[in-house]
Amino acid sequence: MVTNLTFLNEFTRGDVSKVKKYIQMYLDMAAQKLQVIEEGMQKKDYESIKVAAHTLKSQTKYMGISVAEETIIRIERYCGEQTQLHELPALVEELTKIVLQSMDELKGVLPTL
Amino acid sequence: MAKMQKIVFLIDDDPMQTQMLHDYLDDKFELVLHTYSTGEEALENLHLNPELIILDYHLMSVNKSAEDGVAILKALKEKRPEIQVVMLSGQDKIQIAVECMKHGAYDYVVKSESAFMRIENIMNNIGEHMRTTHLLKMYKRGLTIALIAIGVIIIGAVIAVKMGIATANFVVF
Repeated sequence: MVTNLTFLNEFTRGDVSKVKKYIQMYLDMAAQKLQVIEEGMQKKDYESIKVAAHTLKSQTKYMGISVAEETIIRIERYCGEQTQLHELPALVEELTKIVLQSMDELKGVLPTL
Repeated sequence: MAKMQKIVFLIDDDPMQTQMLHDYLDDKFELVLHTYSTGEEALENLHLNPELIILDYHLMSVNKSAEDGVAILKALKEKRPEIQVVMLSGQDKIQIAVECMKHGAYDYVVKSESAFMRIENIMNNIGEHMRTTHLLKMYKRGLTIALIAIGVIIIGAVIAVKMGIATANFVVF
């Protein structure tokens, strides 16, 4: 499991409709951001990758995806500073894997709420 | 008469962050919340007289030509310096926080799980600060009126004394 809904449950004080709403928003946004990152990699548009990673940073925190934090910070930093760009493909692949797994987990959780 | 509700602007290009903050503040306070995804939209709506603005530092994820949070902060403070602005950002770099404070931000909050509670505390502090400022203004006004009244009494007394002396002199002659 990469997700942990402890924060979300505490934040909503167990309000299932709100938990569902935020999860659905994450699912919509995460898919969009992954697409932006993928396109950014193809076009070498590092600014777009940085901005998308930046948005994913807070969203993944709220979904308890702590395992993504370090990867996102590095992507954001390397794209912003235009340094160590050779490490980007591996980092983006890692992030994509984590985010896709989180989406699968959350899609599985939604009907059980 | 109905109590006037405070107006708060939330400016953030991340719909999930905005929705979560909106829901949180709506639960905690009696507010009228307006949300904007760019600072430019918020600047066009300053006539709504917000007391507080919570402003994201990065605002370019939806509209790439949107001004960043610091530029919006500067514009806000130029137009309406009395409005309190709390900066909200995914960046925990001290230089950014210092830059925001230098341009008049009331506080700087890093986006995280604890950000919501921090904003709640800041809003309580701002409310307290505004109440104290209001009381201080009232006291100053009261003090000014009291000083004017004392001045009038003293001048009146001096005139009365002088007139009394003049009358006494007149009686003597």
